[in-house]
Amino acid sequence: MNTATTTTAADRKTMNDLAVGLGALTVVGVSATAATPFWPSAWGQAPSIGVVVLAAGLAVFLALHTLYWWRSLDEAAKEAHKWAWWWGGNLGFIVGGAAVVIAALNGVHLLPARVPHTDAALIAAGLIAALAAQAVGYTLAWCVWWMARR
Amino acid sequence: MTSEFVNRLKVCRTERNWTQADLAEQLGVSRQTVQALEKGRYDPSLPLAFRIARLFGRPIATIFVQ
Repeated sequence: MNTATTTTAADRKTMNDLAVGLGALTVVGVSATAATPFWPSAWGQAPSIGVVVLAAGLAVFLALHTLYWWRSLDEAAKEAHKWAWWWGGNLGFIVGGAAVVIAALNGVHLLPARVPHTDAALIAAGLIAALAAQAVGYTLAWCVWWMARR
Repeated sequence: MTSEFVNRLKVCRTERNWTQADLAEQLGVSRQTVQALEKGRYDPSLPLAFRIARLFGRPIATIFVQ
């Protein structure tokens, strides 16, 4: 279901410029292989400058792209996303979280056998499970919102 | 999920032989939004209601009736 409305020419040009910028960043990311200066030794081996530039640029690109995407939606589409974010995200988190806890209490191995069962791995698994449950809830709620208004 | 208002959006649109897509384009919204509006399953914001009224050249109260 395409709920995007007509993007203004200015927004479209900005999004194109962003894509070009991301392409340029990718070139820098691949070609600048020198280690990042002033990297704290406590953080381990310094990554290349290119990787740092690419990661920072990708974050900015995603933030700006999301901003322009949001501005391209009409009011009903925005309402659907806000409703889905609140109800789908929260209900998904509650149901998913309960499912993980119940599964863990019943001896289900939440991590694959080949992954070391460290505290960090278990925390990461919990975070990923929570995000996945929220994403599923969000998607379902978004569909429900539009289906109810067809 | 039905609005407490009755609207004459579909009547106004068909009087002009416009499709939902035509109306959506002129209002700057998606066709799904026009469909939801026509079926009374989504109440427009005040700015959108004014845009609709201006587009059809009628007062809001003649398009959205309680």
